[in-house]
Amino acid sequence: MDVTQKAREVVSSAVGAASRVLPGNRGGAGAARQTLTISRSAEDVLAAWRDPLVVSRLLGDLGRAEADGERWTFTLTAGQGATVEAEPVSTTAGVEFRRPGPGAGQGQARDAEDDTEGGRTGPEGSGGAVLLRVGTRPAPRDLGTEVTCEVAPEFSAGVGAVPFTLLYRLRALLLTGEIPTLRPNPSAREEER
Amino acid sequence: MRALVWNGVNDLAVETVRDPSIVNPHDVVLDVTLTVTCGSDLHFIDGYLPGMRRGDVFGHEFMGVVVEAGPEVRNVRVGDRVVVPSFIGCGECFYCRNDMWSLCDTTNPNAPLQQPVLGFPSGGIYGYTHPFGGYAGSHAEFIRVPFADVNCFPVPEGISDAQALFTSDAAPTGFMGADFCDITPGDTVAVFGAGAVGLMAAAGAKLMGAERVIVVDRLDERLELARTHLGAETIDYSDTDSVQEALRESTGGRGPDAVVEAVGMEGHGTGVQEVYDRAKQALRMETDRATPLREAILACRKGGVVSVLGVYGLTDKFPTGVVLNKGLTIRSAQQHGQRYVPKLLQHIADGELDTGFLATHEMPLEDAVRGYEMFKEKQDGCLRAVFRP
Ligand SMILES: NC(=O)c1ccc[n+]([C@@H]2O[C@H](COP(=O)([O-])OP(=O)(O)OC[C@H]3O[C@@H](n4cnc5c(N)ncnc54)[C@H](O)[C@@H]3O)[C@@H](O)[C@H]2O)c1
Ligand SMILES: [Zn+2]
Ligand SMILES: [Zn+2]
Repeated sequence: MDVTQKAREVVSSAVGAASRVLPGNRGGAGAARQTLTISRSAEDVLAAWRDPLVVSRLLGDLGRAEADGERWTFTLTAGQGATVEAEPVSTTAGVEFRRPGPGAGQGQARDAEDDTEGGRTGPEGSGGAVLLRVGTRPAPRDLGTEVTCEVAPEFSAGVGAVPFTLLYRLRALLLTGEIPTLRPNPSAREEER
Repeated sequence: MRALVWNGVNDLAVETVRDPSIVNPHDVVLDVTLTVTCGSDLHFIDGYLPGMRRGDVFGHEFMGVVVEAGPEVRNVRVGDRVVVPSFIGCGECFYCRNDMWSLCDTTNPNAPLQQPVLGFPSGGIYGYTHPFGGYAGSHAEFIRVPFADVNCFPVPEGISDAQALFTSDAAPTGFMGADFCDITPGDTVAVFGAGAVGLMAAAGAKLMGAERVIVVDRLDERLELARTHLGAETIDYSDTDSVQEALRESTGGRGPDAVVEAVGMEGHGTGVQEVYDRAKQALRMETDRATPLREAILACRKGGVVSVLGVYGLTDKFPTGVVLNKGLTIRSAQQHGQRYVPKLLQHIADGELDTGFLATHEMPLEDAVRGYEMFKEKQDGCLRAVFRP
């Protein structure tokens, strides 16, 4: 088999696996997903997602999150300021933000498991649609934690992959205490003078 | 403050922009003492490298004095005279901890723009295209430097500003390129390109034990610098039918043990291939005129190392079969400056390395547009134009 053929198969099987397991295929409109390895513990990673101030920093230009107890409100730039309500629910090694819906709000979710394709099957029927999902598993050697993030289409402003952006910022924050930013950044553009 | 900005292809101007400030707790702000042109800038000035925005402050090779420090900065103090590598490291991620600083996993605010092309984004760099971070550059009175503790290197007394300046970019790039060659005593190393990067690769190769260093260019004043300052042999490619043959014949038919490519995507060539490359580059069908890269691969001996420092986009007509059948090793990177700066400052202090001769022209920042014109057109023997803001 030539290399191109092999590459095509890998890509199509990845796309196929993704389309079978992403939340969008269970009633939503499709969501993107990304894994990054972060050299910190799963506890540190998940603690970050439980803090609305941190989540707001990760969102940055993409929006913000506020919490009133277990009820979180996401204000997303892509939605032109419309708000989305969601509730964080613990999974075995992660957290899901679920919108209110049938069966929502009953605490611990049924486990989300890795399927044989390396994709994750969601917690079918145990609550409303998932807005944001974070999963963790130990990375090999001393590399820390493999963190997977999936988001619903509401997040997407059309440019750049949102899960990648969120995880890149999370990794920067956990490793360095900072998120790289350009504001303010000197330039001769009117809006930045 | 005053700063040199990119307003479009071949459209530069010195303008007034806002001053930088501390944004994150590990930042410092430097009062820029010296800042210098680099061949990498020509690629976006000429419009071959996309991703600049009108009004961008550019420049990435510089040194200066710390005037303000963020609350988490520990090792650097206001008043310190420091040199800063062009790529920004964080010191904490996998790549920084493994001394591969330009690959830093946390310092590129625009990583999502670069990810679709590279898959795995590079670190941020000052004053370059937006996929590389979009940070304001050094051709300005002041510059913000993130993670000062790992990116600012105090310059010891006795080393002049002009000597220290080039340990920011040209010298570490050249030394990294020589390092890639795994030089053992007696080796012959050829260097394509006698710009500051190529000359520093030649200097590095000599210090690392190469017996012969052969520098290839067509600009006689640059080849002259290679001969007089570095004791290198030279080949003027405009005066030679075949550089490959010249290198092979002068090495007893063996070929150089390693070849450093320090030219990049705007390399000159001749013949049919040059016509093809120019046409495709003009039509933006490929970004590169890769003649020197192909020549480096052809010229290297079997089993040798080709060390690629020149900046390229997506080259087509890459001679994969030659690499395979000659068993070549190709090594390449954007410079890992933080790995080399301390050693370079030590070499300068010990009198083993001279970088000052690279500064052929010095002028106030207000004259930077003219400086770039001279540098680009290689006027008056300009190897590097240094600006004093
Ligand atoms: N890897 C890195 O981190 C890094 C850092 C700095 C610069 N660079 C790149 O290194 C390259 C050189 O930088 P510079 O500042 O020395 O540039 P420069 O423009 O001053 O020098 C390039 C030299 O190459 C010569 N040249 C052109 N075609 C040639 C050919 N076919 N054979 C031999 N020589 C040829 C030119 O005459 C010129 O002297 C650029 O592509 C730049 O972007 C890379
Ligand atoms: Zn450079
Ligand atoms: Zn890093």
